[in-house]
Amino acid sequence: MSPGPVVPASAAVALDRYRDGLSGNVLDHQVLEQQIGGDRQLLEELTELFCKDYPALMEQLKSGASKLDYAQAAFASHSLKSMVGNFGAQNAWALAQEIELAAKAQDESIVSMTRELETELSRVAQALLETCKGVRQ
Amino acid sequence: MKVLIAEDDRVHAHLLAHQLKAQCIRTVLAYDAMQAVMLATRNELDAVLLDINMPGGTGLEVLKRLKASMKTSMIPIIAFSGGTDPGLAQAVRDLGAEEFLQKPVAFDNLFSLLCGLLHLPAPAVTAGPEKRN
Repeated sequence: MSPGPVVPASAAVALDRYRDGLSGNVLDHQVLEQQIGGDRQLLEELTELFCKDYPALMEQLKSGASKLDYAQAAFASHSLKSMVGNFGAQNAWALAQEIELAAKAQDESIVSMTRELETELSRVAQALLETCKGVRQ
Repeated sequence: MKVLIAEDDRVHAHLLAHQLKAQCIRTVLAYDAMQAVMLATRNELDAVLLDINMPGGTGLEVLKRLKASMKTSMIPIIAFSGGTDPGLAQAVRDLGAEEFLQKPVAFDNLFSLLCGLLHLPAPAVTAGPEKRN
């Protein structure tokens, strides 16, 4: 059995490493490879869907965070967590998970964490596009 | 063999559809709760893969509706969620879902469960997605 897209137990470790500036790996390429099975067309399709869909969810999260609308923030962060989990993007997954939990606890820290997640998601998108390019060459 | 994937995460839905296609299983995709109920009613399905957190109504509502309808009540449902509520798995089973998986879903697990529900031979080894390159 494969371990699955992201192993949640390691998410807290990933988040600690990310915060310590130790984790340079935006994507877990082993997980990514497991998911796409070497299919470059599938990778391009998934990347395209991700790049199309994540900005709207990010906007929803930012809007929820700025209004302290915790239900909206929890839903958007949950959806983003699901999406990045497909690519083994551990840091983004862990951040989204932390925002979701904070939103459910009505914790105002979602505002600063949302900014962190936005930066991390840009890195995920960039890394995916670069991986597609690399595979194409 | 035809399976409905009800999942608002289009990346995950597309990935699952691709992985199932590689196992010769046809799929229909619904990205929200309303679409899921409509497509389940209009198609002859062998199983439903249902995300519990979807916009336009929750997956729990979809589950209730599908299990309450004569046309769809016998379709096996595998529900999944990335939610952290410890009571969710039981709630989903109480509403009639045959199986529940915590997200992120490992395809091997999902496919084994699906094979069991559809009385298909159990997969011997992990089969990767179909290669098109």
